Amino acid sequence: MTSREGAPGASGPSTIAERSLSDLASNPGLPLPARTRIVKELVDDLGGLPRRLVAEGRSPDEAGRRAAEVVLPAGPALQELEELARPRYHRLLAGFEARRVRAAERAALAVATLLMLGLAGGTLLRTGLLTAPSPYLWPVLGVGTTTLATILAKAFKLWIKGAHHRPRRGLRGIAVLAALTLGLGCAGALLDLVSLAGTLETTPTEGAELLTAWLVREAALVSTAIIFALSGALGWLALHAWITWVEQAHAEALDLTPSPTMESK
Amino acid sequence: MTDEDFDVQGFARGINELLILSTLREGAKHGYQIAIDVEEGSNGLFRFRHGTLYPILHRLEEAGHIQGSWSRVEGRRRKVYALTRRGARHLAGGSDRVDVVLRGLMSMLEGPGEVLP
Repeated sequence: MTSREGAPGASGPSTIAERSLSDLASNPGLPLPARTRIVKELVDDLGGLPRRLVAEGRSPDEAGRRAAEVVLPAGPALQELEELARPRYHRLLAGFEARRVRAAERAALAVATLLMLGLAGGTLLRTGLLTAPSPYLWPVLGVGTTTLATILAKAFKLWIKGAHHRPRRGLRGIAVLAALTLGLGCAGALLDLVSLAGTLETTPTEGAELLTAWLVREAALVSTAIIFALSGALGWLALHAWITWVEQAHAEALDLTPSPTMESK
Repeated sequence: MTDEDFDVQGFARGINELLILSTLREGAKHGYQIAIDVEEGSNGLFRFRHGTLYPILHRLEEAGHIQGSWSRVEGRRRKVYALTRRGARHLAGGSDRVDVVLRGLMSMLEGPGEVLP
């Protein structure tokens, strides 16, 4: 499509086809995979039909015009095609006020975040690691949970809502949050070590006990940070890989766009 | 026919669906092949224009009446559609309904009536 742009003001079948497909391909209201599927199907038929018509004895130009007329959706057909491609989530909630839906989504995300926080805290509590925790465990839990909540929100937006206007938006934030969680855990352990060294200087007789308590505390801190950071990295990787895959498929579909007369010649 | 009001637009849309389903009885086909077969099979009476074929195909696919899959035909990727069992049942039921509607229409048009001189 990009390399075969028609001359300005041209209105031949090739230009109409490219404009129509371009509009469809760049419609931000539709999920990227749905746009790719539709464009691919239309492009394939737009390429195949003229060949068939030319084989039946029609001129390439006439075949191209006829193919564009049959294949390219316009007006109500395009609207219906777009409506059918809308994610089921939107169609199910079509009767509800958008403002209320957004509020419900935010509430659901807040509940999910609290559940994750509760799950992480509960696990630490059950294992007895919260009896004398590192003061840096709380920020690690907070940032770690925020990382997972951000992944959840992004996954919901991409895979349930099908909002692919700017699919990569927020990915860097997830990576930064995951790195921050790990950084906080490591820095916390280091600061605790400095604090322990100071305590040992003043009370060297309790060295063994203090060292054991420090080891347990820091093991909890660092392992919590690693688990959250690893989950964040895996989430980022899954989202990144999926977005790259659908973007590539979409770019390929656009690159394959033939003019309706081209293949028939 | 039921006691419900007759929906002319719905009937017309249903006809398009039945035409597509009927061409798929012969086997799986891709979009433009279906369009050509409907046009040729109806001697040009029914023609899909301005992409009207694709929303119908996607609607039938969503309803489970046809199943779309990507395959390679002559070295090119094509989306082909095949009739499902549900689609075959829908076609049979729809054909009966069309028959009833057309009979009713014809009996109305050809029925006895006084012709004013």
